[in-house]
Amino acid sequence: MARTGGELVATALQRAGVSHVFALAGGHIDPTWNAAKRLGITVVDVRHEAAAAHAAEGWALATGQPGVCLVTAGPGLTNALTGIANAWNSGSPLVCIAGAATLRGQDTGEVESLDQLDIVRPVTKWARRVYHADRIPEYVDLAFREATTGRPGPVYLELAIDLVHSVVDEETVQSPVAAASLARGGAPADADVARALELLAGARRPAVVAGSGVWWAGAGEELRMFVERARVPLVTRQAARGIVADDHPLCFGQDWQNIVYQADVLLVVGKQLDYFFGYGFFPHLDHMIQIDVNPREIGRNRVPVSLGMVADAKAALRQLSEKAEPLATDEWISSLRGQRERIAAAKQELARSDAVPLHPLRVCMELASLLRRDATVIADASNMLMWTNATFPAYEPGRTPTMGNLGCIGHGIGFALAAACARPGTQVVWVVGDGSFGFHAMELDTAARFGLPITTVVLNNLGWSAQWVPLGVRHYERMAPAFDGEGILVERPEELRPALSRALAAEAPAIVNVLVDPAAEYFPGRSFRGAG
Amino acid sequence: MNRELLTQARDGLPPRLNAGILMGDGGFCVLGWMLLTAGFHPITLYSNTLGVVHPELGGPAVDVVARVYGLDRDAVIGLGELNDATPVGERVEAVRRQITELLDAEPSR
Repeated sequence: MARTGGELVATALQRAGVSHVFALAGGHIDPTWNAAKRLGITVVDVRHEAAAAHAAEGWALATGQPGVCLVTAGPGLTNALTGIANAWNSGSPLVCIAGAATLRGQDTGEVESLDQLDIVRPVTKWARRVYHADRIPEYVDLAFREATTGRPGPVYLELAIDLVHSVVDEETVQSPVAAASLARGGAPADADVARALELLAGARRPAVVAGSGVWWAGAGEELRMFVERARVPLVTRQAARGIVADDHPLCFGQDWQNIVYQADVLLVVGKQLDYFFGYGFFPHLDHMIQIDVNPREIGRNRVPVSLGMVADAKAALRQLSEKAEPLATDEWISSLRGQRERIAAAKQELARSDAVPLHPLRVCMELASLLRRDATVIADASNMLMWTNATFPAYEPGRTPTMGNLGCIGHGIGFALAAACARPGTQVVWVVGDGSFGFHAMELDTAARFGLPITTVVLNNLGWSAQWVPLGVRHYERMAPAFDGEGILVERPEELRPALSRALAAEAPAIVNVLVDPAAEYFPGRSFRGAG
Repeated sequence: MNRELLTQARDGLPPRLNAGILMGDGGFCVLGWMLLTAGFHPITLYSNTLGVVHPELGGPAVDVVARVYGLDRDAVIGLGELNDATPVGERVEAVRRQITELLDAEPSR
């Protein structure tokens, strides 16, 4: 049977278990696009390729499985680059399939012709161009293996327009042998596990920090078992948020600084020693124990690590929990709970504020009180993270994706589209500043076309607060009717709860534009006396 | 006490100090400002910041400020607490007065 290159791509995606592809149409990818639809893959066509890549990463963050974006040649790929780079910095598995100018047309001045491979190489784990249609299934399969094994990350596969239109006899196409299992990394040595437990047993204030690597390894259950058996307090960061629920008696959410700076021995699992984690430099610690599948991560930034294990988080945590004994941590845990209550009280005080313009913490707390336990809240980026980080609990994994350390802004609507596709019928909220809203607000049209009732809450402080560059009062809520949705302006405290309730109940995308105090400050929850 | 550095931090205080975060979009708290004045730039953002990143000199913010400025730890804690407890409009002046008191309490040699 004769098959086009595009059909071979789509069939290979289906075999890889792909149900959704985030894409923007273009002539260079038509055969793949059409074949994917014929096979029942949902092609979520967005309004800008960056959103396609952000949504593909959002799919991975929401489901733990690699997300796929399909973009056309030239500007299609360059537009997607920011989303790919974001996934690269965060270590999220993403497969980008791009069209390209013809294989015959290199250096002829052909439209949308660009050296795409060289552009994507610095921000991908693996990048390839396919030269022969009969090898397409093999390369698609490789792309998924590369994206998901070891430290996950984005991969790139390029197929020229003449390749996806070419026709081959299916009999000549050999599909790859499926790998029986795709282990992400090895198990640690027994002696190292014993040493880790010994160091923890010698601690007065031990703590565990779980990062995205725990989510990608599917090690949530092993993590919970370990902290329960050893009775060690836990904080979760980035994609690990919710992997153990924030209301678990041993989980202290993401307020990592309060705990890390008081701990004496720290077990860090699958967390990059990066900007979002003080670069891992905590000289007050007696010991840091580190488990990471990425060998380059152990002791990064010249951090003194007492014991580093290059290992799969799932295997390591399982071994640790099998051998763990309960530690004498009652006093330490009790002290942390007291601190948590003090911080919660400080937050509640601000949350009761009737000030006009509204305090952003009040908006976030009011919103949080209206959300169901399985809601997804995407806190976009930048200054507003001060309030969202302090507000939205994570009860399940994949529910609170936020900014990566690339520092993207505006990407949150891509994450929201993916979460709404992955979990239809659940609440999906995009909380965003007015500056970031402008980047990809047009994706609310995508949400409308696909029947995704995403609630957008704009914390509108009238400008770019990073540099205090004013944008002025803008009626972003008026955009909603253009997408068959409802828009509500909130200026006063008494308007807030009814507006949020109405937006959350809507069956179409809704925008709640809340004018918040540009001079609002972060809640005063820190304790200098607890640090050190 | 490093009088020269402390004087420099006091005299260069920005027009606005924030509360609750060492350094974030929009400004610094007094400890963040003192760290910046002393040359510490890469500080973790967007949370309840208490720590300083530096390969050799980093650690809890209170300890780093105390060490670099040659101040008692309690004096640094006092500055941080004053910062967070004072309304924004009065904060810079309150902090400036407190630093002046610290300088006056230890005459220069």
